[in-house]
Amino acid sequence: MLKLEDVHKAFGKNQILKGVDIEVNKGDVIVILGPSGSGKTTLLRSINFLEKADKGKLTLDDREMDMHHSSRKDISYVRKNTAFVFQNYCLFNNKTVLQNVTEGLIVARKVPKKEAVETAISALKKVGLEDKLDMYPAQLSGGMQQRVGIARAIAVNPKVILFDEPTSALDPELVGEVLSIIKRLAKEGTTMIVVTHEMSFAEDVANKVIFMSDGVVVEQGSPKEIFYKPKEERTKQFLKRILPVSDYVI
Amino acid sequence: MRFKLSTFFEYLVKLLPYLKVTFTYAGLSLVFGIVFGFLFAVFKLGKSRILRGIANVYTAIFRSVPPVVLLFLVYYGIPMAAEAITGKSMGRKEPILFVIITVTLLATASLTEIMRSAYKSVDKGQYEAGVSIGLTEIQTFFRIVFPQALLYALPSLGNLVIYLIKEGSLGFTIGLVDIFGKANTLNQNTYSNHILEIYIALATIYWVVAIATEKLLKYAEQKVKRELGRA
Repeated sequence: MLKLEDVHKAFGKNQILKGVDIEVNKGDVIVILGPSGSGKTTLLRSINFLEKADKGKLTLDDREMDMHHSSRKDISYVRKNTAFVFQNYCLFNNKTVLQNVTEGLIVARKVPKKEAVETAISALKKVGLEDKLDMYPAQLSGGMQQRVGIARAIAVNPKVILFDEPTSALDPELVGEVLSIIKRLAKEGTTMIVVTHEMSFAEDVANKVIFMSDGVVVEQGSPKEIFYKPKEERTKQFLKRILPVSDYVI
Repeated sequence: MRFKLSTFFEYLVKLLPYLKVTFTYAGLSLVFGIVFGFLFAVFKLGKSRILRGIANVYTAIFRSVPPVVLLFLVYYGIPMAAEAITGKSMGRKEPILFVIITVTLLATASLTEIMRSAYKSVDKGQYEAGVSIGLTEIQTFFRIVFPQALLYALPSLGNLVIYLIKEGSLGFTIGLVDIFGKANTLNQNTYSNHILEIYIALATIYWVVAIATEKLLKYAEQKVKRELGRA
């Protein structure tokens, strides 16, 4: 359904993506892991054209486009069929919870207001915030804000949701409420790509784990393959640092 | 010499009609300043190195030249330049024109900076969230970024209005009869016999205008804040 081929991206002299290929099928829950600076976030952002790749091909359904020379129409097509959940929520601070969710429906997709409000409320019910419709982002906790961010993404019924470290900016006690919502969405069959450091989440719900390092995909496979039988040395080193291991003595 | 309250009120009434002149140049300069300031702010935030350079040079120059120097340059320079180009003398009959040009040049420099920093203070993520949800760049700007930037800009905008009203008083040096010009004339005509009454009346007017402007802007700020749910 979504395919990326040979994606390159540099910031100045710093080559962040050095030719990445990824394929996403309907219903896939893909978790991208990797050390910071490995290019995971840049990859995710370039899918949604928040970064313009220097080179690469993106195919969404039957529509194929050059990621560097993409037309406005192509960009708009991709953005209307995908949704992005940001690390620091990025809610519209001048809009209420309800308006945050209806904005993409009413303004971008020309959905009639009444229908948009119904859709938005059902999305907000899924994240347990149907009683906060008229609150403003500033009045909500980080966890609640991120749940609005998720509702905003699911309301537009995208083909893929892109999660960029959705729990990294949260206080530890708020991580659970957000993760459990994403898990539920995953189990309901929502197609998603998640950049995260939550290993247990990856193990629980991912059907494919992609390990990236230095701008390339080092290894990919099922969570079992990646976590318990990694083939590449770099994957092993990364997992050793990030997972609690027995030879680690305090 | 004694301060007489009745004389004070007499001059207050005489000066008040000339407030119209003061409001004319301050208002027009503000409107023009907003238009050009917006343009320069777009230049400064844009990708073009040349346009960014132009805007930077502009603000650097006009923020560092003392207003009275600028006024003289405009007053003497523009007619000279116009004459050199067209071969016809344009004269200097309308001092308010030169005051408006000068104050606009000053206002533009300040407004460029006010708008640029107001835009910057709305975090980029909200813009990205807007376009990622399918809004166009223009929709995102006007629906998401602009209302919030306005809130950040309002306090400095209030200060600027007060500053423009005060700077324009320099117009008397080129013969503009606004409240300050009028006060000077009145003082000369009475051989400085009522100097205290006249200038205290003048100061009172400036004071009331400044307070009123401040209150008005505060009110606007509260209103915007309520719209944003931050009150």
